Amino acid sequence: MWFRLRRARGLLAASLYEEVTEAERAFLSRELGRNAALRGELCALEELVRAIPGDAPELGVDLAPAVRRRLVEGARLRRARAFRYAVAGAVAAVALVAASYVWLGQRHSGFPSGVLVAHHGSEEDPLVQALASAARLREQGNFTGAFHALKMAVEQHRGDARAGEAQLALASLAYEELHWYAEADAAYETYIREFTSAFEASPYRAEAWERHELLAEGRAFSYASLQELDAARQDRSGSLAPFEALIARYPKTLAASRATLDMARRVAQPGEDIGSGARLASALKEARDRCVNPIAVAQLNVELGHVYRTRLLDAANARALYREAAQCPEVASLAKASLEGLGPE
Amino acid sequence: MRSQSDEDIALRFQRGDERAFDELVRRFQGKVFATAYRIAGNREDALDVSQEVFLKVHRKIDTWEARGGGLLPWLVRLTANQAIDLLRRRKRFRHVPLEEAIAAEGGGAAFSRTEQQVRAGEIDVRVRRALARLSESQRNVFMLRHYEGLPLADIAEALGCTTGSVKVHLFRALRRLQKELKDLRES
Repeated sequence: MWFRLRRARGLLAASLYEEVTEAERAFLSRELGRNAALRGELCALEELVRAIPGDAPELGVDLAPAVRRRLVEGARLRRARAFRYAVAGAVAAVALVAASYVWLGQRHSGFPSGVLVAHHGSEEDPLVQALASAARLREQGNFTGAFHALKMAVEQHRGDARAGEAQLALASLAYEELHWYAEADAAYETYIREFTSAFEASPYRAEAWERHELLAEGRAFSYASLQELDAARQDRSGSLAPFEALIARYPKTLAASRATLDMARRVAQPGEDIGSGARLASALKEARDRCVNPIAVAQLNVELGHVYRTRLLDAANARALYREAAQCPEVASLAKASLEGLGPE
Repeated sequence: MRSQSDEDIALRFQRGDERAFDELVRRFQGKVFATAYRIAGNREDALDVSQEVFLKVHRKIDTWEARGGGLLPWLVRLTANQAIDLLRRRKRFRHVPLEEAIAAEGGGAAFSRTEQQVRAGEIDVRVRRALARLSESQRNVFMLRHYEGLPLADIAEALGCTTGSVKVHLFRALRRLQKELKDLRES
């Protein structure tokens, strides 16, 4: 009896939206004929469904840009958290500047080739053979071949103790040589998530994590920010304009931070070492003074503030620079967060 | 013109195509906003909820399965939960008198509104309040059927239950709404 009533009520609701079969309609009719309470419920619910408006309010705006902005902002916050984890005890800004500097100065002597060369001698392990083969291809400039050789090796020998190293080499090739950012993003993600032990033990952990974050941020722009950074670097005119344009388009991002360091290198004398805090600050200042875009100026002031705070231990100058940057709406939140990081005056 | 199905776009995004995400936002923002508005009851909160939903979609797209029903039911479910969470946080729906709620929505201009408009506004507020009080299953079924017009069989697939259960949820949702609106109908 209870099941019968339950079924009849379900069908009654469905009938209000004309979703009953002929057999169900016949069953419902029989039940309605013998149950006055059910008939009353039908009348009441019919009236209800008519009374509840089904029209939708108009949105009238496009949410996509606002959602994008919030994604980027979220990536920035995650990045700040990640650095606290990756470089214990170090300030995030120091890590960023330092890692970027290493990247700028030692681009072609970094870990991918190191990983590959390290396995030249051994011939028994199939993964080591694959690594050696990839290293040969890399030396010949056949980066695509090396990438595919490594990819296949990792897929076939995922359980091998050295698979993590191969995965890191794969990610680095995609990032550094091929500039295949979607592939690099996926490869670093795999390295960190699936080869966690290798990642945590790696001397290149901080750099791998930083690239992972940069790629994750770039993902929100379909990697256009990274491609534009590449294009700006390839510009041989000596102009800072491509970097300024990039910063204006992607303010407060890691890509923008990288661009400021590229600008510093570009304004430095050929061969000049900008590794010291004072020289780096001087180069950043010169780059800033050559900028015409207010967003780029503000971003450079933030980076300069980081150098004053963490390298030159000059909180007063850092504060002044952050305050100046905070006047620019596009960079204000980053500048204010940096000011908060300084603590009370 | 829609060259790709909703599910194709979601699958593209699952594979990492960020442009598909923008497409997804633009395709569903109207429906997500409408669902949020129906529960939150004002434009500002609905906009906030809608953005939160899409941020969540960005984070959780991997948990959506193409075979588990369409994308819309998933989005409606996320949106309704997000809007309810907002209401719970603010505890709005518990103690706000009807008159105040209507005034907050522009009902303060009731003097210049027709009796029919005032009544529609009252129904709107009561429905919103009732929606917030329904169980999650009842609310999802009702919103997907009444507002989005999805067939009950599709709703069942999306929610992972039988069509019979969906019908029972729908009946209970309607009866709850009926109780909420009973005094209005009697007056």
